[in-house]
Amino acid sequence: MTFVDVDGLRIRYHQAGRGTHVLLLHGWGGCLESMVPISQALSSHYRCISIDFPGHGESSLPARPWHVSDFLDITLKLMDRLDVAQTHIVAHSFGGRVSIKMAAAYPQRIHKILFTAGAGVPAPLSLARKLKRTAAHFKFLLPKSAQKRLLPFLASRDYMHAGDLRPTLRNVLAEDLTPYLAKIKHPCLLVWGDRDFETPLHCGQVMKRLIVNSELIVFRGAGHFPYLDQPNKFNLLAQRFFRE
Amino acid sequence: MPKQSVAVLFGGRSVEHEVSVISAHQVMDALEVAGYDLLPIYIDKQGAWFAGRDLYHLKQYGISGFRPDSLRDAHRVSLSPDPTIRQLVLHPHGAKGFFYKPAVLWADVFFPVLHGAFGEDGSLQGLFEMADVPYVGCGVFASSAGMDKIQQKDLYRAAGLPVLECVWTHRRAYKAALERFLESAESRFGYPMIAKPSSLGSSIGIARCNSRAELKDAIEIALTFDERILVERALVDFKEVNCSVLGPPNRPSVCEMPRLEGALLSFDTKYRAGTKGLKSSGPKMSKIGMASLNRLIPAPIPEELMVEVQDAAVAAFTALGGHGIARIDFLIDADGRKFYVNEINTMPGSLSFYLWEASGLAFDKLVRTLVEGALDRSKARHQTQYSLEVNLLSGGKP
Repeated sequence: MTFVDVDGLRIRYHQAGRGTHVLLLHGWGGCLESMVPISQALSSHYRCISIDFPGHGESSLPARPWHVSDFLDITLKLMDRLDVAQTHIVAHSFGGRVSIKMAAAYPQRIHKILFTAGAGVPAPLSLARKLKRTAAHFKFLLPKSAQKRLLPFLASRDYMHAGDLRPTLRNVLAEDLTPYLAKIKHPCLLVWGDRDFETPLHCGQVMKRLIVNSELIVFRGAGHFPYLDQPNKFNLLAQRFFRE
Repeated sequence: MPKQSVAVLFGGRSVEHEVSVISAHQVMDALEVAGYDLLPIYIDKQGAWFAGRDLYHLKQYGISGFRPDSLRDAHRVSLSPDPTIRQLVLHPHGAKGFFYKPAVLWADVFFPVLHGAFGEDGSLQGLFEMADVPYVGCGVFASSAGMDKIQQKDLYRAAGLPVLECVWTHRRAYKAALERFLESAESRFGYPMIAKPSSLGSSIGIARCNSRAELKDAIEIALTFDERILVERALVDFKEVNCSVLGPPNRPSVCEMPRLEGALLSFDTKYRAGTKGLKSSGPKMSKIGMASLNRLIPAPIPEELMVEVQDAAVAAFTALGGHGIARIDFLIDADGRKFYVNEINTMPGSLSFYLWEASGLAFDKLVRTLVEGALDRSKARHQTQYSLEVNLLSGGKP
């Protein structure tokens, strides 16, 4: 593994293979190892670059709460440092947020994007989520100790494990990236599991509708990690998408 | 234009049942990526057929006591040899509930991914011919000859290809003249020798023997797997090189050299290497089955020898009248100059996709080539007249 200093932050990355660049962007709470199965499958034909986003894996923690645009800035600077002028992207979940913003604001830096269970479009609230959200609004009525005990029931797993990144996660989740989607003109492949409860299939369908040059593939029985649930099919699809 | 549909048959009454399940899931992944609709058809170890989408899920086959009839979209069916019935026939006990009727189960092309008996040996291909359906892979004769290690040696020899000489026997004949057979093998080849069943794949029942006692044991074991067995000279310090052929037009892939653990490439080495954790953690599909084997691609042999082996692979495929895909295995002797055609696999594990990927043909393109080849062959067959309009019993009137 290699580290590079960008804007005072130590960013860990990994490169494998030769050819056109493929940047692998992991989901929230993940790290570059999360993308290893894809990197292994593509590195015979592409130069795959995986990174740890700041605050994830072994990259250092930002000094203040960040927004998606900060993650985008650091990704672009890292690409510059690695002489990556233009790249394909494989983005899982949170990595999708960074990719949406990059595609809309810096289209010349991207060839194609493969979103898998990509985040950025607000998920419709299930009844359970609606109840949790309502309960969270009224938690101030309870004493502090009771609020603390209730947190695991009201907050998401990502939020519970976010540690020092909790304010950053709040910023990230507050941003609806739907308005950016219509600006994306790149060929996009959207791969979703029909049993994804984090970024439900609905989010993929919205992205399909708003991104003009996109194709949605649904993996039956797969959850929030289609590339781990059905790795062979996912890797074949990725190879076909970047090849054509 | 509606998508073409492909029925993928897998499992089967064969010792290579599980190998087939793995290969078929790899093939189904590639077919989906290539844009085909799938109809999985699972044949259990008793030979019962089940068709439906729910059968396309590898992990369930690792669960002990797995029952395909418990799945919602999996129906007990059969393929009728009557070519006028263009749908799979639902078994009388195959209906799921009184009001539930599955859609008509049928496909444009049938893709058998079955290894060994009742799938790779020509019997299933015979049923496809009777039913007049387009199917992927070798026809009845090539499949049958490809499973018979004794007969295929004659075909290769007639085509001018180098083979290791053998002696062979039948279960009944061996019991009647055991000593005579052992003496004949010893006088022709001397030890070490290899004993193997005539018609089994995946190295099952094959053993290397250094003494008469070992040879007797090996023959006894081989005879439990097949009625006919063969014995041939064992090469010392040999290397194995494999080459796949795709056609028509017949063309070779790059060659591979499997890394042998011990003298022979065993069933465990070939298939079990990548299946640990199949049940619990979900396998990385590109790394199980034959695809998981430790191998060198391209094989580290001189360029001229590589070309000779590739030419011989195409000649062997052609000698059998092969169609679709096959993998031909070669043995190269110690000095690296002489090679022998060892055997052909007309439905190779993992479809040898790793060899074609290394040759520049992606897996999804490989399966598309095979499906289109099946349709072309079916069209060509329909130009052949099999019956006469004239009714001889009515005095020559139609």
